[in-house]
Amino acid sequence: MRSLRFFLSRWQNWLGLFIALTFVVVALSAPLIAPSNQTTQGPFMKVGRQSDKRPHPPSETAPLGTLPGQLDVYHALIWGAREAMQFGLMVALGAFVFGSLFGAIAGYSGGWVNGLMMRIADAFLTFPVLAGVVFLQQLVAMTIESMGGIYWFNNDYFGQVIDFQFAPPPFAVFLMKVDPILICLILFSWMPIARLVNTMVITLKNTEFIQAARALGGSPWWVVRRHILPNAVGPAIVLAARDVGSSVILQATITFVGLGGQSAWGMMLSMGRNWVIGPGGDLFDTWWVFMPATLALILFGVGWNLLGDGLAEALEPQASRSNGSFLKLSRKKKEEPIEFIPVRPRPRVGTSHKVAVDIAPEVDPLLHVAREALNQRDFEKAFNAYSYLIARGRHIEEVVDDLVKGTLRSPRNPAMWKLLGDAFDRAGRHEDAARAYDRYTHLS
Amino acid sequence: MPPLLQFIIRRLFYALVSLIVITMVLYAGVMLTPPEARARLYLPPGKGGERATEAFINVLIEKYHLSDPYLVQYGYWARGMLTGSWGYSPTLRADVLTSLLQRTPPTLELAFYSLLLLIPLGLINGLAAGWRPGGLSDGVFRSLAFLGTSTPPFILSMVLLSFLYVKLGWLQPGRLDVTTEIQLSRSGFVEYTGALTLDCLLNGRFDVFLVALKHLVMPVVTLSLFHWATLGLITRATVMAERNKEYITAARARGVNETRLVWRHALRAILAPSLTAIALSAASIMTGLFVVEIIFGLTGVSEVIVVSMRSDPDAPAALGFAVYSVLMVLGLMFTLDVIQAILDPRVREEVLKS
Repeated sequence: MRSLRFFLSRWQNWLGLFIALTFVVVALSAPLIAPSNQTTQGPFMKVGRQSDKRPHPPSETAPLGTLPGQLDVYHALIWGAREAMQFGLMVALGAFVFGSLFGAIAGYSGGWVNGLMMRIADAFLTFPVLAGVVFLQQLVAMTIESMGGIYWFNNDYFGQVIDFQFAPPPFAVFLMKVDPILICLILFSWMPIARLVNTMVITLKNTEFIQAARALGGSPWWVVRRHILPNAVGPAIVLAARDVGSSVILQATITFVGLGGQSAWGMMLSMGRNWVIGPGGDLFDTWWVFMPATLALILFGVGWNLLGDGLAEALEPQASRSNGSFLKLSRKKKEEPIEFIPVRPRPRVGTSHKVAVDIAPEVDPLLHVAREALNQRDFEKAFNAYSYLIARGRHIEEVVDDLVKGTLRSPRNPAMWKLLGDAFDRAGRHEDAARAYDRYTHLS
Repeated sequence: MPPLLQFIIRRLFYALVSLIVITMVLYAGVMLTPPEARARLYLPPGKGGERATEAFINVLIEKYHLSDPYLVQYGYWARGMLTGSWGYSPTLRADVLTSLLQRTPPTLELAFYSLLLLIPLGLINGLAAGWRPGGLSDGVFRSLAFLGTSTPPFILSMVLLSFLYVKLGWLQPGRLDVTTEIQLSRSGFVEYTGALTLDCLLNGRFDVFLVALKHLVMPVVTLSLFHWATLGLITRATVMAERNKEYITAARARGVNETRLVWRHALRAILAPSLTAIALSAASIMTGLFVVEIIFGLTGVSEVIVVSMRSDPDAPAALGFAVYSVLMVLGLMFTLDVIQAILDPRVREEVLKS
């Protein structure tokens, strides 16, 4: 709950959430806000003669203008959002499932299996996605050709052609249905997730509750599924959330440079590119062929990245959160009174059955006074009492504890830091002492 | 043996292991297809399309051991790759390896200039921003970095082309404009290396060198921006952790002045983690390189896949390109590692200890 509160306290996270939710709503309501008709083909809708290669400005039939070939920009934008959302979520889900399973299995197996599997994951990191995308598409093409089919990546008249002169074999039908870009992007984005889950599993494996689950006779798969994965899932989801945005942008890039893929936004940009960067082109004269798709892509990426960053930060342990925010909502810290830890009698090392007691079982009166003064913020009194205790080395560990809490509570009080330094010094923790003195000199 | 040499040998060995693992994974992908399809990787010139009859395919399967178990087949294939027979590409109408090698210099040239721009800039900006978080340079850097990480490179390239090329005419895409190219071919220009800027210097043609550099500006900026932002952000985070360390305090106590503290003491310490981050994103730099090459019409290695995706399927080119690009990524990682080890003795020692 605390991490939720932290998440909601940053406006960047609200912005990310807002953008992502807007895209979700647009994607879900696409059939309502951009209804299809007979001229619709995929995300594109024809609103004029196809032979008219001049993009028309916004009009009543096309609220955001048309692309060359009279394709409605608004319709493509909305349905493109739907496809992008589907694509991004599928890549993220695929990477998440595959990555966490791979990492968990490797980590649970341990030993050389773990080494080998993680080496494979590392090897994937040295592979450029673009080469993988082309390779996979060529493999599919090669297979379909060897089955007697016809495969053209780009025919001059019809674009991509995949055809069979006879009823295609079932495997070919399957190959024609899958999107190689989708598979490829999953294949090249699971490694960070696997690595993360792997580290967590290896750490978790040796904790007591997992040992207990194994001792109870749980099968390895059961232990991984019931006890390890739920604990490792949070951070993995964060990584997957960032994949949603980046994979959609990558898909659009691949489509734009003409290496396959069916990103609607990428196709819009590549159809309109001559009106932007061709001879006489202009970004602003025919803004509607460039701006809508560009803005959609950038916002999509930014939204999911902000969301991912926010989630990552909120799930992190409190201490390591950075506090460099543009705008910080003030959060009031509750002051907890310093707990009174009763000083227990400590056995003296070396003597046998006889329990020798250092001090009386009741709290030392001076320590009691010091604590009370500290809690009432009567610093002068508290410091006097504590320095007396420190100078004599009495209850030095309790004193250190109290002063650490004191510095946490009022971190800008130099005298507190100096006292803490003295206490550390007396306790023999010289490094800590040096750090506390550092702080003291810094503050005063 | 000097530790640096030892370090280099060790890194080479790691690179070799990575190469073997990734080619095994690649070939496992090939193994998913039936043997008849695999035989198409070995089609000799002039035997594609309808001439690849069933009988001929069976001959190929027999000849290249394509129905053997996976590891045996991988062995034969790897031996073929090592001896330089990377297959024949029907769309390029040329041997795959020669056409890849022929197109390498422009790619390396682009990579060189981009890294030369982005690594120092990223380090310096990240250092300046992280040294005083919340300060002016930090604010400027973070907003620019946000812009850089959220603009897809291909959109940036369109904006640059639209303004600088179409509108203002200051810069042009491509490697050289036609006029200069014709002049060059008549003036006895010798291509020593294939990398245009280097050739210009070797030929003593500084005027053409400047023209070639001008053509590289847009691609280099497009490629650098994203990775500059990422590198800068990582450096910034490292610096923020580093600046409270004891050695900084100690140096300050000794009276070392602030400038020297930043540029001599802190910079050396943050080099290693930042360069590691760049080495880890070598694959994504390579992808960016290919995209930029395609968009700006620099005829580098990526031309091979562009041509192979134009009409007929061309699996040998794609497989060869995949292996070659992995080699390039490993080479880039290796270079960065060595630079890092030269600059930072701790890196050498750490590797040797493990």
